[in-house]
Amino acid sequence: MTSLTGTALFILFPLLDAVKRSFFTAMGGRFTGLRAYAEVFANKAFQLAAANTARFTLVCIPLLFVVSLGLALAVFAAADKAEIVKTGLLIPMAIPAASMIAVWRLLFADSGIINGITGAATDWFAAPYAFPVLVGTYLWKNLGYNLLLWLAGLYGIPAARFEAAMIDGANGFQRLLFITLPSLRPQIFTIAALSLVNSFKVFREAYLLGGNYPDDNIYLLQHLWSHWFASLDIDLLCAAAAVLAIALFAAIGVLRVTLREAT
Amino acid sequence: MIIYKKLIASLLCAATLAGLAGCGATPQTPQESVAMGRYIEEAWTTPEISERWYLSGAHLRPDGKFAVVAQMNAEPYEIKYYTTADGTQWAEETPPWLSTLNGVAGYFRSIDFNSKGEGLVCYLGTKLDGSGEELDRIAMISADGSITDSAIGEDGDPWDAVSHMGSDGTIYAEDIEETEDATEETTSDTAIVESALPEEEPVPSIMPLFPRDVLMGEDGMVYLTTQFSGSGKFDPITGELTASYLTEAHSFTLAGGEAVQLLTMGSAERAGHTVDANSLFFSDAATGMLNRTLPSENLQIDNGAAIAGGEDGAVYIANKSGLSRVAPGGDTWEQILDGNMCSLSVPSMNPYQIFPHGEDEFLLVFYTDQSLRFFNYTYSEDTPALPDSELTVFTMLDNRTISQAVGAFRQQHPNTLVNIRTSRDIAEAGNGDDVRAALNTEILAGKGPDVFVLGDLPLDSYIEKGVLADLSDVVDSLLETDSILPAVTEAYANKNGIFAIPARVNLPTLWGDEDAVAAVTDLDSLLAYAKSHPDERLFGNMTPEHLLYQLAPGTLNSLLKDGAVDIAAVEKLLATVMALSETADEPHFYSYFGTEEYLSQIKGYAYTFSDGGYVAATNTPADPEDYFAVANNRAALMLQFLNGFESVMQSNGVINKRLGGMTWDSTGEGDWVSDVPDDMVDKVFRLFPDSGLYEPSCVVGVNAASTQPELAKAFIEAVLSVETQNTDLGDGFPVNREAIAIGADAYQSHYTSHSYSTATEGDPSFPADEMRLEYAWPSKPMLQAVADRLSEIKTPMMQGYPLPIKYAMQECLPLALDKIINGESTAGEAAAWLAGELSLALEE
Repeated sequence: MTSLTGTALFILFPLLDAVKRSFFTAMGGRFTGLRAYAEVFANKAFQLAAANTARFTLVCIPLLFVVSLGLALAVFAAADKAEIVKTGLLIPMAIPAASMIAVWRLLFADSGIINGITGAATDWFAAPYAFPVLVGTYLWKNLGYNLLLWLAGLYGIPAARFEAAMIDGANGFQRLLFITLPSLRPQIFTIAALSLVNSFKVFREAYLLGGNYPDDNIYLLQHLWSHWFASLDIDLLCAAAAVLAIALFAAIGVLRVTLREAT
Repeated sequence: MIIYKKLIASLLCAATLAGLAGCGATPQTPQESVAMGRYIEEAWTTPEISERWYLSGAHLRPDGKFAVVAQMNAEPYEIKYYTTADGTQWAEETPPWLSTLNGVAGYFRSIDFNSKGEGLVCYLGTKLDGSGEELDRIAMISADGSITDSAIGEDGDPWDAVSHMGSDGTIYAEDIEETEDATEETTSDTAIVESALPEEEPVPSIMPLFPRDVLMGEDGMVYLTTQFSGSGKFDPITGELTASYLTEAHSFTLAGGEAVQLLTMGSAERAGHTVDANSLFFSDAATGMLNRTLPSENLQIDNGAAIAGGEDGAVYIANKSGLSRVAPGGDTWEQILDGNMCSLSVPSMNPYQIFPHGEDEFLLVFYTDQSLRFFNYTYSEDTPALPDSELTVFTMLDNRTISQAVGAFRQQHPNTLVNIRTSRDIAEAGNGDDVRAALNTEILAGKGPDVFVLGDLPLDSYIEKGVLADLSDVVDSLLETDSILPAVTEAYANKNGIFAIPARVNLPTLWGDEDAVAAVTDLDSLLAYAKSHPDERLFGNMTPEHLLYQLAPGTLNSLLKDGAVDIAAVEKLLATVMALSETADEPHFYSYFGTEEYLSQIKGYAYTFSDGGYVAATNTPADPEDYFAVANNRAALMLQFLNGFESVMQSNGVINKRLGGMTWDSTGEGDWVSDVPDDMVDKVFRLFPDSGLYEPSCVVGVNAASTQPELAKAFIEAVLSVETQNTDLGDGFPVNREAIAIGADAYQSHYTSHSYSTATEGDPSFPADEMRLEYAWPSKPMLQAVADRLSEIKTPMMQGYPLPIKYAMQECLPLALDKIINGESTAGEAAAWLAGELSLALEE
């Protein structure tokens, strides 16, 4: 009851208010119907931002899955010997975004360390490098967190299953495919959902790296929302947010149904 | 157990909800608890004086009347004396000492009396019998009104020679005697400046002491402080210095047997005590021994202050933050008058003197518009301590016109407190984006300020979204009486109304050679003129970067078309800039301006296009090379944004030198003047481009959600009133016609307005006679010519530019030019690149 009250007060009601605002003018409250939604979908900046956000999500989440799971399996197999690796992978989570960006600038600036080593004059914050840099930033930041979640799931798998499989002659890959992965299904859903949410937080790094108007490849939905708020295009902002919320709910719903069916 | 947990959880929820509800409630204050009592401001009249007269020497007489001296600033330098009992009417008096003084005083400085009727007058002139050199002198006034010379400084400066100007106008340091070769330069620390005055013209011989405060003590002694020599107590009969006080102090007063001095800047050391600025020094008046110091940083004294001692020994200080008092021997300041609730906070009003009088009354004398104004403050116990209503005005940066308007508004609405909020109040540690976000949050919540100063705010969005109220009723009444320039009422208007008005305007102007000014009306004709006059240098600085900096503002409106960058227009601008630059043999005429040493001082070019609320950087010439080049006939033209009548001085001085330099005017005030011949004033400058483009400044609007729209509109009227607009604050010309007429008819004496610029000695291409630019107040025909141009304005600069595009264009234009200069792109490619950079912002 308490958590429902809190969720309703701080999440549900504001969401409903935002949806409501998408049907009215920013000031004056005049009803405009679906005009804002039509404008949002027709807006080229929104199209670019949505495409970039979707591309980012579709690239990052599978990549994060594979890399973090691989690392988790390796750490799991190494047991106590990998404590330092585990700790090291968790450090990026503790570093503030602004501090991280300061280091990134040292590395990727025109006269930065990387260009100094390679001897090139690459603009890492412009196409075609801006997107990979942002993806790398996201992976670096979230690897450790996902690793912990995978490890929690791995430690929860009864050892007897592996022993039984080994007796039956299953090799490592077969044990991975038929025991480990199915046992991690609950974690897959959780990690997928959390990774999806965390992928939107990368706006901080994109803003700090590229400013208000970064390279087109890393121009995300939050940039657009920030500018719409500054110009009081609240109806457009809320309409875009409602569209995104629906897309996210749909994605999580599909994920849930898919994983349940697979079970 | 579970039930208990549920109960506790429910109570926590309820408490949270109640707390949230309580946060939004406004506490009701019972009527009985409203604090009562505050000082009421009353503006006094001033004596009616003619042009070329000025007021000074305000003092309180032993009979309780206030008196002030008026003097002509031209031959025969006559002095008049006025008194008033209550500030409603002034009477001219002719005390016995006045006629004697009129015969000898070239420049009146100050006058003071003690309670016994003994007084002194400080003046620049000869002795009372007409003999002796013209020096700063102090004469003593007896109780019967007779006047006699004092012995103080009768042979010169009481502290030996401080500084003096020789008969040829050269200024000498204190330790160098005047030699036969009057133009000899030295390298003394006190600035030696070789005068540019021709030898054959007569120059009056004056020896300024630069006295600050000259007070008549109850002990019959004279308390004299100077700007450079020192501060001390003198015996008027023997001329002997009997006590010495702090030299570096800014102000001096006597209170309770102590000499009280105010140090406003720097630091001072005395008797082992070292203190920094914003401190008071208390010394024994009789001996000069330091008693104590009182640091007073919280009073923000560094922006100018006046001090006075009360009969009870208390010390009063008046500055922009208000009027405060410290008790005798005390160390805690008590604010008795808040600057925000009186004229102390008005930018043009500089507190000059304080006169406590009567029962809990004060007269404050302000120095403003080169004269004095008087405001009397009377304590009213029946008036609430705070006004019963508050009007909030938001401006991103401190705005002098708005602060000035508060004074005008308060005269009509004394019971309304105007609260000026700036970006610091909205988002203390944030940048402009944070401030705008915080402000928009307030607006969306139905709150926000009552009045906006729309500089650096998304003005077009606010108009489109209905954030701003329609000001048509305010504007209509002003247009009916032809009180305001019509163009400014159309700047931010659409079919639904008028939503914002620039309260000030800056003019982009072109100055220089008569033929060139006639021929050049826009960018195309500028390039055509340059090509057809290959032997004539166009500007002093012909680097592409400088040309873009100068020429871009006038073309910005054409760079954006139908919501997209007009690539052809951008290409044309960039190509024209490059073509113009190539017409000059050398990028700099005076090579020093191209050296690293000079460039490191100006640290690159800063584009700041004023869209209201603050003065644009375009008003501050980043490069004086153009001025010197035109003045010395080395180049034909220069561009300048004029931001008020005072800003005309410099361009006027440039043209004056170009046409022959300063001339001696014996018919006026008998001094050097820098007038441009009357038949030339309309030929030596023009608006550029000639399309009527202007730069809006201090754009104001009313919040449509304001709960007191009538008061907010009344404030707008105050901003546009002649009382606000007739003061030149350096943030633009007035838009009020009466204020424009006053400005065009304004007079400042050459003596007070004379100034000069000096170029560096580090450039061999800079001959000695070209290194100095002198200027003074322009002639009335020149000012009127500028005023006439105000009537020609039509279109505001950057009209229709969304805020992000303003910044993006500023940033990208120089970068696009750099691509051409570095050979990376053609003009067309650079223009296309710029369009690409701005496309996303435009598509939003």
